[in-house]
Amino acid sequence: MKYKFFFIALCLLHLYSFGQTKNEKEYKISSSELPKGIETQLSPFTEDAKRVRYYQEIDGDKKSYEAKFKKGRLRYSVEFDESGSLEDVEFIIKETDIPSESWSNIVQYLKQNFSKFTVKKIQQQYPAKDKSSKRTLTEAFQNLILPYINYELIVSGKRSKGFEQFEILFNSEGQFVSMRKSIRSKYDHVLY
Amino acid sequence: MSFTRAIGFCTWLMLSITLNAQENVTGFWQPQAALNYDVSPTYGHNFSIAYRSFFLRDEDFNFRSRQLDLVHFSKLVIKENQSVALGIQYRFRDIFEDASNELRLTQQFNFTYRPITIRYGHRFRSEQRITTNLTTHRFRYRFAIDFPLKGQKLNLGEPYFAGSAEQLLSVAKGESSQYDFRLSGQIGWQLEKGFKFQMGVEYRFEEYTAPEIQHVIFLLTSVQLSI
Repeated sequence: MKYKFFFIALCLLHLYSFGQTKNEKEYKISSSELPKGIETQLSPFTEDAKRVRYYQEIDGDKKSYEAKFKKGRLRYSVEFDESGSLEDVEFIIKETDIPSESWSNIVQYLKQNFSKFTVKKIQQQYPAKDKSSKRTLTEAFQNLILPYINYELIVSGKRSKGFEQFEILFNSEGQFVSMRKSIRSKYDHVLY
Repeated sequence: MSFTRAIGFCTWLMLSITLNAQENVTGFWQPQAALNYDVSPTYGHNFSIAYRSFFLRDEDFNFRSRQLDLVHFSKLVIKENQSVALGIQYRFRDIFEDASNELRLTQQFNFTYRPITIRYGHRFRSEQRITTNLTTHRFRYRFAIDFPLKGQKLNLGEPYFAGSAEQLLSVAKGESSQYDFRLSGQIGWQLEKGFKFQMGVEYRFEEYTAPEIQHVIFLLTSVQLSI
C-alpha cells in the first residue's frame, strides 16, 4: 500500500514537471545542416568573423536558424526562417550606445512597470521586414542607427511575483513594442 | 570538444597524482539526492540526503560506510542574482564508526553573474560544526562556473558542466587553524524539466599548511528535483 502511494506521488510529480515545460529549444548544428542560401547570404559579412556557430531554434511550431559570431568587438546574432529568408540581425550593445532620449524613454517604461530592475543584456535589432536581406545585413554590419531598428532588452524585474526575467522590445525612439517572459536556468544544482 | 578533453585530462591528472601518493590518500564515494522547491517567489527550500562511503583507505580499496547527512537550506532571494540562506545539517557518524555525530549550522551569501553563456558564482559561507567535544567555526569562499555543453541554452536531455574551487578556514578553541582547498568538476544532464543528474569528481587538499598534507578524492553522483 505504501509503495502504491509512493508510485502515484512520483507519477503526479512527473506529470506536473512535464506540464511546466517551455516549448523553446535550441540545438547547435553544423553549417551543412543549414537551409540552402543562408551561408551565401552571410559569407560577405563573416570573412573576418570569429567563433561562428549555427543553431536551430524550435519555439512551439516555429522553426528558425541562427548564426552567432564575433566580428570586431561585437557579438552578432543573425536569424533566418525555415526557408532561409533573413528575419533579423542583432548585436550586443551597451546603454551608452543608445541615443539618450530613447534610453530615457526605455528607463521610464521600466520604472513604471517594475519596482526593481536590472538590465542584463541589450541588443540592437535590424528586422528584415520587406527590405532585401542584403540591404538589412549591410546596414546592420555598418552599425547604422536608423528609424526602423529596435532595441531588445533582457531585463530582470521585480513585480508582485518576485524577480522574473523578461525579453522586452523597444523601437528606435525607446517606445515599448512587446514583452515576453523568459525562463532563467535554475542554480540549485550548483548552489548547495 | 576541446574543453571536454581538457576536463578529461585534468581529471586523469588529478587521479594520477592522488592515487600515486596512496599513503596520504583517502577516497570516498558520495551519492546524494536533493529536492528544491519555492515557497514563495523570493523564498525557497532545499532538502537533501547524502551518504558517504570509503572506497580507498590506508592503501586498501574497499567500500565501507562513513556517514549519512540530512541537510536543509532556507533561501531568500534578495536580488535577482543574489541570495542569502540559512542551513541546518545533521551528520550521523556513530552508527557507522566510533565517532561523534555532528550538528552543523550554516549562513550563506551567494552572488552569480552571467555575461553570455558561462555563469560565474561566488558563495560565502560561515559554519558552526558542533560535535560532542568540540565546536569548530568554518569560513568558506567558493568560486563556481557552470554552462551548457551544447549551445548557449540548456535544453532537456542536454549535458552541462559545473566546476568549482573553494578555500576553507577552520578555527576551534585550543586547536590550530586548518586550511583546506577543494576543486571539483561535474557533468550533469537536464533529464526532465527540473530533474537533473550529475556525476563528477572532487579533490580535497586538506590541512595544506600542516607537515603532512591529506589528499582526499570524492566520486560524486547526485539527482536533483526542482519543483
